[in-house]
Amino acid sequence: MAQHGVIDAYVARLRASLRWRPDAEDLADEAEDHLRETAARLVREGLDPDEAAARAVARFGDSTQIAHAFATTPSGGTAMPTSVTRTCGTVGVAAALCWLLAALVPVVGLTERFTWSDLAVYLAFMALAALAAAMTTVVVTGLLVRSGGLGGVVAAAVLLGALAATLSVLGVTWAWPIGGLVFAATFAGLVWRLRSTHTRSAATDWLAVAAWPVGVVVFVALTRLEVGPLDEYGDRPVAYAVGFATGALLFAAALLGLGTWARSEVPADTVALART
Amino acid sequence: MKGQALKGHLDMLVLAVLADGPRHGYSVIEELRHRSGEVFDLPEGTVYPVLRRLEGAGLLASDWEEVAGRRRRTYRLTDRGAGALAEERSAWEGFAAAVGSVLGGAPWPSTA
Repeated sequence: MAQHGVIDAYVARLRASLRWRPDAEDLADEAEDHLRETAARLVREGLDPDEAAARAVARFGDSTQIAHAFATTPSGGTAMPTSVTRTCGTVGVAAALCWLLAALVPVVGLTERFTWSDLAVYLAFMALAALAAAMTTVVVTGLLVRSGGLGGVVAAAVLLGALAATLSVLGVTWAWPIGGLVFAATFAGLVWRLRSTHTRSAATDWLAVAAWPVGVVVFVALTRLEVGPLDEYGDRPVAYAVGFATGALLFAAALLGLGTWARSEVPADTVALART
Repeated sequence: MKGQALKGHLDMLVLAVLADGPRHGYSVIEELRHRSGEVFDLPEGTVYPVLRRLEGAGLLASDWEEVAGRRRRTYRLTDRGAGALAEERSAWEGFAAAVGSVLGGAPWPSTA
């Protein structure tokens, strides 16, 4: 009975880790067959059933790592070539760079006049923020596919959120708090997805969720404290610029982490073999 | 080092083990261990992602059967898989011979 308990618990863990795959039941059945066969052989070799079950499970390997290995495997339309993941990672790093530049431009530009009146600075800021937002949506889409496909409520919500955030940044850059907060919600869904599918579980990814809310808090605080002069519209550009820069810098750091990780994905041998 | 080195060749080795006839995952890993003189002793579960990937690439096919009240999946090499294995094998043999010659100091191809 105890023998069944250890194996049952392991198979249940593996099944839970693989639940995003359409063939999760098949994979769990296959693992169970393997574990019971190993345990039976160890019992024939003289081990007691409890020890045999424990050893069979230990030899099979950590269920999280096995599930992670399956994440790079083609399955029911959720396959993603490693090269695409790596490209997506490169876009992520480029997006991080754009957010960084977009953060610096208004801050540097503002040090001279403390207004938005310098059109060139404002246009550069708009172009960089728009580019960064568009690339961020590409990364979100790529990581969703990588972590099990675009299907499902979470994936749909994340994708729609990313598109909405991008459109709001594209349309009116000065409304960055709205786009930023939508990105924060989007990344909450994405990070949750990555963790629940065991595709990736880095605590630093939560920075992508926290970045924009922190930026908005800085913006609100500086406005309340009446930091910097008012412009002709009655706004405080310093508060806008510093708040945006805070959010964008933190967000860039998180994207850099995600992008670097995706870029370093090891190519599957099968990609080379399948070409023959 | 051994684990990392094996990682890059696991696909080829799995194909080679299945070249003799159909096997289920347990039997594939047992054979891998046996043929390597116990050197290739990996976490057994790692063979399944490889099998699924190779099947996804069309190099293997699988069938289910019922054994001792449990479902069991058996894998076999497809024609495409046999072709891929032949190509990998010849590339590996050339590489291994060249490395051996360099390490041993003898010219390659060997005239001995």
